[in-house]
Amino acid sequence: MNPLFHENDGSRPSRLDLARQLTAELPREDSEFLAAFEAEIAESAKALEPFDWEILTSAAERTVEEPRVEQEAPREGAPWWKAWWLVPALMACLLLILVVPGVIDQYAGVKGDQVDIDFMVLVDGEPRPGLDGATLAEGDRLQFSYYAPGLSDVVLLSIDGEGTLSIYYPASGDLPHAVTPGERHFLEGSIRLDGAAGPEVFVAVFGAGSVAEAVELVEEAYAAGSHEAVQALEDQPGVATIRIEKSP
Amino acid sequence: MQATEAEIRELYERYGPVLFHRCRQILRNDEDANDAVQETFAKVLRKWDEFRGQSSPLTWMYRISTNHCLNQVRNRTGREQKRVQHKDAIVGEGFTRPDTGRWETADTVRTLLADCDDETRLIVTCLFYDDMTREETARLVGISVPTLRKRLNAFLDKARKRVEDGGLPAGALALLLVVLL
Repeated sequence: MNPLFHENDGSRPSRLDLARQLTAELPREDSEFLAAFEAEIAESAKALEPFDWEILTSAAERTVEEPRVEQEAPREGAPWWKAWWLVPALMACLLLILVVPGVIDQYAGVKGDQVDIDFMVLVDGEPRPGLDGATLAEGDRLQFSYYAPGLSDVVLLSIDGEGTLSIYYPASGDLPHAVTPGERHFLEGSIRLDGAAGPEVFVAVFGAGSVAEAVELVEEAYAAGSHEAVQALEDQPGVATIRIEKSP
Repeated sequence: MQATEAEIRELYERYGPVLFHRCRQILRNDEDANDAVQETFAKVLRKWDEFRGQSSPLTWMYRISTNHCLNQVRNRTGREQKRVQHKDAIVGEGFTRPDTGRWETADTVRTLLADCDDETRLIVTCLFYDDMTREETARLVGISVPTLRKRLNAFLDKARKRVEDGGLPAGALALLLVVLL
């Protein structure tokens, strides 16, 4: 047997087998495997969207009838104010100005409303409690803890004095970092501060659907009102923030 | 011949929950999983004649939905490579509570899977997530068992190399595949 994996040698039903039994493609053979699988299916089926014939038919037609549009070569000679993109671009800018504050207000994709984050900072090799608003320096190490009743994942990111957005947790991927709901817990690893001077706001978004969703939330807030608007995100359910200052 | 609404509705009610569960496990996101189910049924509509000739409609739909999901995962990987992420800024095990470094291992497994070609990823998914036998997997992927063995050995060689290089604790991979997929 491979030391890394445990393949199914046929001595137990595969998940495909179990699925075929549940859908009556194969005769049902009651077993603990089938019972457990059936419970999993029943639980996840609650999030399945109901059947919608119109959506399905339009999805089927869309793929067939919409051939890939070849990009036209740019036309030469037209003055920039007659460019085809000018009107939609102006309209998009106008829309952005009008809608962005509303979008931020609408963010309510999480269940919890009493989350918080805290941090420890390593000073002379000794961990000490960090303070919101503390002045820290390049190379200082922070380790975050969180309290997230009823929520099981987080995206921890920051926006520094130069407006650079960094994602720390998860370390990669679009799926939020899994956390333990309930008691206060520490995130694994510590964050070493870089040299960008000025304010840095750390934002923990609990229960976000994806990293992209959390990034969008913070970027829109920053665009609307700099670090203060990012800090104000903590009024949103499931969002906690901490601000530090970094000395040059 | 075109499928009727009643026929597709019946299929959706019968197979939708199982397919959704499958897609949700791979994508870890309800919205994306619903999209994947919708795309799968859209394909059923488009390929109705081919679909009706299947001895196991579920196996056919599994293949379609799995390919769709793995493409989504691959696209995500592409997106994440373009985004600034500061893994390097996170150092050590932390100073208040040691940890197993499990998330770093998960990263390694993701990288390992992301480096594979689509067919190998489908094979790995079927074998280690769906718990299928090699024969079942070969049938679903549409290759012979010897070809499957060759692909699998190449994947496992890479995984072993990561273990030997210290990038991946032995024994963690199978568990993490389940966690990640």
